[in-house]
Amino acid sequence: MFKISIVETHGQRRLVLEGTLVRPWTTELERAWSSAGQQLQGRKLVIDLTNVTLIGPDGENTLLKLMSDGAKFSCGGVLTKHVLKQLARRCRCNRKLL
Amino acid sequence: MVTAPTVSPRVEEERYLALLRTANAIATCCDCSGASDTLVEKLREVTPFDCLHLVAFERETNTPAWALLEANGKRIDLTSEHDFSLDDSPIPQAHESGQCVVIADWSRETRFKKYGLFLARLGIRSTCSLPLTRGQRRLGVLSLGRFYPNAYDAEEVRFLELAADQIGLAIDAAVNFYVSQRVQDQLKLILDLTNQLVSNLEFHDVLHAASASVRRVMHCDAAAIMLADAEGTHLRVHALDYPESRGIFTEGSRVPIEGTLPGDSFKSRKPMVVNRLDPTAIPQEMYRKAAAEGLNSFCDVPLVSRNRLLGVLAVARREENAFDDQEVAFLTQVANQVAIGVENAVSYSEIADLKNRLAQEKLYLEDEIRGEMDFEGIVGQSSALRHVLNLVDQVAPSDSTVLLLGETGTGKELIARAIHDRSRRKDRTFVKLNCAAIPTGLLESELFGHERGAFTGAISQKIGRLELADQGSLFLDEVGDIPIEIQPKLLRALQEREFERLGSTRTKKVDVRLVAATNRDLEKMIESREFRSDLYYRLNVFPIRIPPLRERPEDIPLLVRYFAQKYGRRMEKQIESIPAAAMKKLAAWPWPGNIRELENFIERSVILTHGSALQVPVGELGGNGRSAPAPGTQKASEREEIVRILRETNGRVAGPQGAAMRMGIKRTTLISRMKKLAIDPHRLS
Repeated sequence: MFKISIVETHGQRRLVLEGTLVRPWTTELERAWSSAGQQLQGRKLVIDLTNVTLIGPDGENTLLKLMSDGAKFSCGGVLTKHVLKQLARRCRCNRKLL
Repeated sequence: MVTAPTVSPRVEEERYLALLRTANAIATCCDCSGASDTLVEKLREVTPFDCLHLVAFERETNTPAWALLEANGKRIDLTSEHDFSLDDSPIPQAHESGQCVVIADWSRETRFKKYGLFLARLGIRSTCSLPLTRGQRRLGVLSLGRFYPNAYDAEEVRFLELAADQIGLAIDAAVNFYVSQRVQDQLKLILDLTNQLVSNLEFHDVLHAASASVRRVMHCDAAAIMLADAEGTHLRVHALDYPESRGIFTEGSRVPIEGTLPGDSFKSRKPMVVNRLDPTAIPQEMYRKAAAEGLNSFCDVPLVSRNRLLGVLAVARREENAFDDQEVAFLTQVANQVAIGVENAVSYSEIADLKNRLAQEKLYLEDEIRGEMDFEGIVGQSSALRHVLNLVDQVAPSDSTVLLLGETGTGKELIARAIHDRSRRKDRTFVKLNCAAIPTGLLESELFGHERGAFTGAISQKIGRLELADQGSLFLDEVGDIPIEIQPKLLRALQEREFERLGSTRTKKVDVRLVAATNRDLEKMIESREFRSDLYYRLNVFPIRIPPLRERPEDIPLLVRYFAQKYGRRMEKQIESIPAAAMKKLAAWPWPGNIRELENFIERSVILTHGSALQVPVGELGGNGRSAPAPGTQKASEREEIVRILRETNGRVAGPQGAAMRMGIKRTTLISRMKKLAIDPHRLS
């Protein structure tokens, strides 16, 4: 199961993800991310991974893509933090290569 | 005074011939109306008359069924009101006595006053009422009349009695033909209706087909099927066939059971008929609607199937007095057929709903199992694990049997589920059977199923796992523990794709993809005759060796984080970090129980944790006589893995068939590791 909720506040728009980030929901996340990016009116767009229970290989690739597009993340849990760190490293490597 | 004329022998002969012709003509008629018309037309050649009154009686009830009256060459409409009753005439007397009743002069007759007045208005002075019989059966009465008195003397009566016998025979033949024809027509109509009902299964299709057929079969203007709602207070019009409707009666409308004609029929389980719109006899609402629609006759019959009251079949006609007893009886038969069709459709609808619900529940449960097993998230990035996953990706789309070899706790079930989920069978069932967990005596029954009474305790039929996995995948865990006596039957099921349930002689065909797993050395078991070689070769189509955790130590930190996060969430503990020293210790431990052991250890660690850093009881890792692996052990296992893969790729490092691709790492990384471990690919090839 996977769920995406959008929480609007003054300073930011939060995409709260819950459940397992695997296919086919990775596509759904990309769609939600691109539509959430519209009409931000100067606010930040943050993807909240605190309640993600699992990130599969496809999920990692999607997060990397969003990270490359400038997505900001918030998370909890040692594994999610570790995964995000790894992805940030890969993202920096990719930028250097470009 | 005018009396009956005497007839010459020549004329007499002509009369007999005419009688014969009349009887023949009547007998060849196909219906009652034709027979009566022929009788009136031909009888004049036999005997002259000024008035003819023919009454046919119902066979069972002995009541008048239909009548015909002709006077002065004109047919008199008997459906309109008359001031006489048939009971007040000589006709019932002739019918009951079986004797001819002659009234020589109606002006002197004191009995049958009203009938006498009626005849007087027609100018009839004398009549002769002749019973029409066939054997002991009384069919009706033929009454002839003349304008003058004393028209029927003894001789004439004798002749007319003879004529009546012949006419009775002829009418009986015609009536029988008509009745059999009518029964045949009705049976054909019921057959047509039944065909309509059985050729549809969808609830609404059945109801619409039934209402349309009933309207056609009954020659009605409107037909409707009403079914009782869940509360039992109303009947809902589920189907209405009324081509000339003015929109007053509509589908979906609700009719109260209390105080309505369909409701009365529903409650009493009896047909209800209204043959005339009478505002004093029927509810106001119904009168208003019926009058607006131009309907005057109604017949409502309850729909009862196997003593289950379903609703009401209602038909209506524009004309008054449209439904007689025969039609109601026929409509009751029609309603019985409709009730069976409706009940079948209701049952089909219930089964379809249940099927859908089961499918939804199955989806939900499969999703739950996926969530529980996390099989999508096989955690690890080591080259050994990537190699295994590559093999999974290669073999999954095929239907080949896969044999998973690996130590306990290495994740064989996870890999088996990954194979199923990447196969074309992923939408069908994944059935698991742990052969070591089932008592030997029950394993055969678990695998192949059994019939009721196959053995003591087989109190009901049971479907085996093999049958359950039809079109899906069957995962036989600990296949090495299958008793040798069951192995031939399993081999046959795998090879021939057929088997028999215990206690059954019926062969069942199945299409199952088998994934087997064991942590035992099957080749050694073959040598010691514990495992059949033919079964081994059947299972060993595509072996996948799952490396133990000690061969992929680089995955340990990731697994530790994964389990720490999983159990932290479950126990509502915020674990933010894992001390580096603890992680180092965990990564160095050989984990003989593999991932299962690591998972349990981390669960224990999370329980012990207070605060945000995982408190690992590292002291436990050195106990129980176990020791941390020698520093060289990790390197040795990594070297072994690289050498093995290089041998398989004939020393090729790069390219699509190279070792780097097989291990899922960069070519440069592999070369760097090879240098570090002093591996020369040229020597290996």
